[in-house]
Parts: sequence; C-alpha cells; structure tokens
Amino acid sequence: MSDLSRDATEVSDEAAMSPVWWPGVEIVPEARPGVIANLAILAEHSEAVRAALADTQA
Amino acid sequence: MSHLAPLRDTAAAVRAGRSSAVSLAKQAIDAIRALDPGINAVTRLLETRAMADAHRVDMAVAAGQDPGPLAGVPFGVKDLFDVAGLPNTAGSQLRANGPAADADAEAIRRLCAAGAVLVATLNMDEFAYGFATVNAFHGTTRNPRDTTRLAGGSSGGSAAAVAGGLLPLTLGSDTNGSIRIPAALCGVFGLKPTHGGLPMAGVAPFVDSFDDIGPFAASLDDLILAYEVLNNATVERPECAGIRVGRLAGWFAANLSEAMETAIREIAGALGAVDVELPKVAAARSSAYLMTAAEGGALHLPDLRRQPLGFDPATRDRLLAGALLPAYAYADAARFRAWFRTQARELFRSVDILIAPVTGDVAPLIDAPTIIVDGNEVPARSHLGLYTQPISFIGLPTLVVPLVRPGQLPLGLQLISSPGNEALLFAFAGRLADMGMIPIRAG
Repeated sequence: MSDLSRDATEVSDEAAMSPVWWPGVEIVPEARPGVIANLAILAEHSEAVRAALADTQA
Repeated sequence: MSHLAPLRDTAAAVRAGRSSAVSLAKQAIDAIRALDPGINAVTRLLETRAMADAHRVDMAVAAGQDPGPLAGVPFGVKDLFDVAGLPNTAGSQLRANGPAADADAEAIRRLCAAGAVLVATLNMDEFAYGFATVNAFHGTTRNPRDTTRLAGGSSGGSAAAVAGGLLPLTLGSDTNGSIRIPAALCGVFGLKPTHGGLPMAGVAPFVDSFDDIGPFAASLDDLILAYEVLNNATVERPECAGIRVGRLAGWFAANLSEAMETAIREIAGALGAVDVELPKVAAARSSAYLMTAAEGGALHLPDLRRQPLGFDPATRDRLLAGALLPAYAYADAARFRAWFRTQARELFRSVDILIAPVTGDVAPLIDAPTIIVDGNEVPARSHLGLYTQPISFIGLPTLVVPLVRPGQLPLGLQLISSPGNEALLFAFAGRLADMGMIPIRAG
C-alpha cells in the first residue's frame, strides 16, 4: 500500500530529474521540446482565460 | 445516371428501377480509382461491402420493396466512424491493427437503412487534432480546387471527396471547425449540428464536450436530405420573412482577406444585417484550446503511456502537453464557457441568424502551410479555427455555405443560429441561394 501521508516534498534528486511525470508515464526525449513549447502556448491561453474571468466578475 | 446527380434524383431513379445501385456504386469506385491518386481523400476503399450492399438495394427494388430516400446513393465516412468488421483507426497507425468494430456507427446504420451504400473511409488529421488533414500515416489530402493547396481539416478527406467528384455525400466530425473549415476551403456545403443533435454512437471521440458529426454535400438540398435521414425527422423550413440577421463584428471582422471582407460586407448589406458582437471572443477561443488539449490528452493517456512513439509527433506533443495541464486551467475554461454561452443566448434575443467567415482567406498552400494573424505568420494546422472555435465551443449549430466565386478559389460563410434551429439555417440558406449569393450547387 502506498504511504499517502508522506510529505510531497520528500523527493529524491534522482526522482526530481526523472522524465517520469506520473507513475508509468515517460515524456520520451523526442517529445520534450514539443511538449514544452505546447505547454508555453497553453499557459498563455490559461492566463488569457483567467484575465477574462476576472473581468466578468469585476 | 451519374453517381453525382442530386440525391433525390438518384434515389428516385433507383426506386423506380430506372437506375441501379450496383451501377452507381461501380461509378463511385471507378471515380475513386481514377481521381483519388491526385487528391488522397480515401483511406480504405470498401469495394466488396459496397457491391454487396448495392446488390441488396437492387434486389429490394426488384422485389417491390422501397429501399428508402437515399436508395443507391454512394457515400463515404471520415476514418473515425465504426465500420463493421474493420478497426476504427481515427486516422492513426496506432489503431491500424486494432480490434474490428462489431457494428456500424449509428449514423452509418441510419444512412444504410435509408438505402445509401458505404463505399470508402476518408482521410483526416490524426485523432482529429488539426485543421489541415496532414496525416503522418496516410499522407496529406489535397484540395481538389487546387491540388497545391490544403483541403483543410480535420475532415479534409470528406470535403475533398465531395468537391473532387468522388462521392456525392460524406460524413465528418467537428470539434473546433473540422467540418466547417474543409467545407469552406473545398467549396462545398457542410453542417455542424447543435451539440448532441446527431448520433455519436460508434464515433471515435476527441473532445466529448463539443464533438459532433455532420454531413458534406454538393448542394443545400442534398445536405438537407442527408440531415433528415441522420436526424430521423423531416425538416420543416420556416418562412424567412422578418428574419433578423446579425453580422458578427469585432474578432470575426479582423484578419480577413480583401475578398472575404468584401463578400461579407456585400451579403450583410443585401440582407440588411446589423453588426453585433460577442464579448471576449479571444478568451472563448483560448478556452476551447485548453479544453481540447485537456480532454484530448486525458482520452489518449493510455496510449501516450504505452506507445508514445506510435503517434504523429505533432499530435503526441500537443496531447502530452494537454495531459499535463493543471486542473485549474480546465476549470477556468469550463467556467468561462458557461459565461460565454449566456452571452450568446442574450445575443439571440435580438437576432435570429448570425453570419461570420469560416476562414479569413482561401486555402493555404501545402508547401507553405501558414496564415497571417495580427501580422504574424502562424501554422495553419493550429490556427485555421480562429472563427470556428468560439462557435462550436458552445455547441451552436452552424451551416457552411460556399460563396459564388466563379474561377476563383472557394471561400465559405458560417450561418449560425441558436441551438436546435437547423431548419431556420436551411431556410435562410435557401433564401441566399434565391438571391444568387450562394450557388444552388457547388461548382
């Protein structure tokens, strides 16, 4: 059974550098540049939506 | 009789025994063999099935039975519909050797029950994630109006098959513009119905919360007949007198080519349309973008885990990024959608129909697949949905009609109504045809 009570900050240096971002999922090296570029685009869209939502509630 | 004749004429001839479903299916298959090498719209030619089904239609007529309102009409489907006995590939090599479907998708079943004959499956962007029909597995579908140009996507094979004279009727799917964009760029009629209006059973999903299926055809009348069969109901077209038309301004009037701007201005003027605006359209498009990435990423996570190298790299990287998206980003987008839907509902208190461009310009070149947005050159594959994403994101029905442009590359118009008003869209398009603003039949 997993220890779900452990501190989430208790991550080894090795784990922190791992390409695994979720158990069983690896971002293969070929995909990393594309994924990072797409995340940057999604982050911009997310900021735009946050700003618009703030306007609608102002 | 040509397999490309108006659908009602084709069915009437077959039902009366003046033409045969077998001869029509043969014509369609011959047309695909002769023309498709230059277009690449077809992924699988279903000759054995088509000839057997066509024979059954002819036998029914010979036995005095009525095969239905689409008797003998050959048709094709985007490669994400279940076809009994074949894997549903959704345009991906990952699924090429997948399990065979037990039965046809419900939409195929309804068309075949009305006498239509399935002849082929058609090319698409992998997993419907794109506006270009550039497919790493099946290749790029070329626009039949100019084969150096993109057909648009993701239902590019479906639009190109009609525009290129391969088939008179096809089905596609639309999440962010995937019926509307290829219909406009290839110069044919296409319908994205009200969200949830047509059956999705047996259709590979992409973004459940705004996926829909719909037909492509060469004329408004053909499109209406196909819709009636798919929807199991006759369309009662209302009167158009007194109809209030709004031209979407702001976001929808920016980044247009001179030709598109002129065409919309002339149509709006002739119809007495008033300029209206939806607020915060850029955020609506951003929300659609986020929800697409997140839902698509979640859907494909098992394959992204098991076989990431089996994807088209461009699709994989976007899906992986979507799977990594923080939950708050999806929740914000969903909250914004609820607000935006309310704004659209308010707008439809003052107008009955909205008109808007499908794309800002004609089909991009295959060798230079970019468009200009706000002065910047951006990839067509991810940006052609500028004017379509904010509409499907809130589930509005949209009919795409080609503009009259003899000798020029096609441009298309979105006719948009409130949910459930497809009959009004058909009636309004009929009025545009009567006024000579759109063709009776795509050229």
